[in-house]
Amino acid sequence: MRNNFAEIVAGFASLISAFALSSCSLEGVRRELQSQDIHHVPSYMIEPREQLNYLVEHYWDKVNLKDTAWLSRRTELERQFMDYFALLDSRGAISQTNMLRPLEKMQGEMLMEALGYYRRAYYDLNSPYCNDELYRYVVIWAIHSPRVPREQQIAIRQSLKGLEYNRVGKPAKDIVYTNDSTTVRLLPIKQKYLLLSLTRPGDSTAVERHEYLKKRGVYTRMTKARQLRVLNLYVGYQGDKSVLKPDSLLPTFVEKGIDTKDSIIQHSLYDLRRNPSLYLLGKDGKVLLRNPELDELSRYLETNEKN
Amino acid sequence: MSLYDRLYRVLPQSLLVALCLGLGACQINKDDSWSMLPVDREGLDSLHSLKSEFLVRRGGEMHHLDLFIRHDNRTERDRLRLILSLRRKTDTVYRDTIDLRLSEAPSTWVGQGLLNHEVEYSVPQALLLQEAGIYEASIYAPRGEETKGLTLVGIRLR
Repeated sequence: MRNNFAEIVAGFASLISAFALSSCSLEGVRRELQSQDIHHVPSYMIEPREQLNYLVEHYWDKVNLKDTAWLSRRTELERQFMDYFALLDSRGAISQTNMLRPLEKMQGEMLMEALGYYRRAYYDLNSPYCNDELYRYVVIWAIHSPRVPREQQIAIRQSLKGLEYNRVGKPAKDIVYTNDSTTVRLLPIKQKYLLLSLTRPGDSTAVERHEYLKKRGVYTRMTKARQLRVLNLYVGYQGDKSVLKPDSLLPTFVEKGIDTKDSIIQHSLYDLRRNPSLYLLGKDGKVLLRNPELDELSRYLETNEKN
Repeated sequence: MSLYDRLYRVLPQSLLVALCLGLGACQINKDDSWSMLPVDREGLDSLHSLKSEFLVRRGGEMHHLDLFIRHDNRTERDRLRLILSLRRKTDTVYRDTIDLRLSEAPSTWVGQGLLNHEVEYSVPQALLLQEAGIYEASIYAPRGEETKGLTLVGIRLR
């Protein structure tokens, strides 16, 4: 009888403990599941744009960016950042605050990792979000942040030169170059517009681009009317003047020049990530367009041709 | 007036109400995830298309695109072709012409309902959306496609 009673008590106790254990593990799973939806949007928000605005503003609220456990899940961390960049891109009109918000919460290796994501997203030419003005926010923040190591700041500062110089609306850097026989200065500009094409060795799109310039009438018309000057400036050729020889593929209205001392590269005067790097300068020497697509450039000139 | 007479009098109205309720009950209730557009006299062509935005919160995941139409008995065709597309900014992620079967045999509509018939269609292949953000789904009839009888179209990205 006593044995039976003990068995019943033991069975009952084991049942209770099993129930308690299962409820504890369920609670853990529940917490885990809840934590997975860290980018929750309130259900009363139905409009996608409203949801997007909310998500951008609160994206990092529930993410512990100081937790170094993320370093063992770098792919997931990168995904979080790439999604954030994509959401910012969808929203448009990206503010400095939104750009820097996650960085303000980070430090150490995590911060260095995140700065790498920013570089890949906003500085890499192959990225759909590549944007010099936005990356400039990050670079300026990084070189002033006490949380970024000094040696890293020096490296980051190098890329700032290219971003700072020749920004749209700012004066272009003057260059001394050599044409057929003489040494000339780029500034001041006598025509209404100057299209500066900085070409480095290995320009694979030259033939295609020159065909485009010939076909699109605006370039011929504006150069004839002395409204536009097109200058093809060769950089990185170590003074090899053979590039200045006549080229039948080049449209007749394109002038040639060479940076014989390679000062553009040495002093990082112009951003040369693209080949060629295109700059449209106005008469006052200010940059009007920086690395535009050819269609965008043509549309700009066509719109302003008669003005 | 006896109770029987009274009942006899209200019977037609009651039957009518019941019929309306019954017809209503045949319609599918669509939740907020659907974006709906009533189709007016202009029809549903590229100028009068249904365009709707959807927010994708996480990139690199699979999604499904669903289509819904409601048509009435004015419809004179057994099939309906519609162009369904999904874009993110200027990139087209998906675009295809959907061939919807409205009737399987004479006088037999595929969709549910007596006066209005509803047909739902899911794009068979799941779509891998690499980037988060706002996607725009649109639906319209190709040029020359008769949309008479079409009263409502809906679209959903899930």
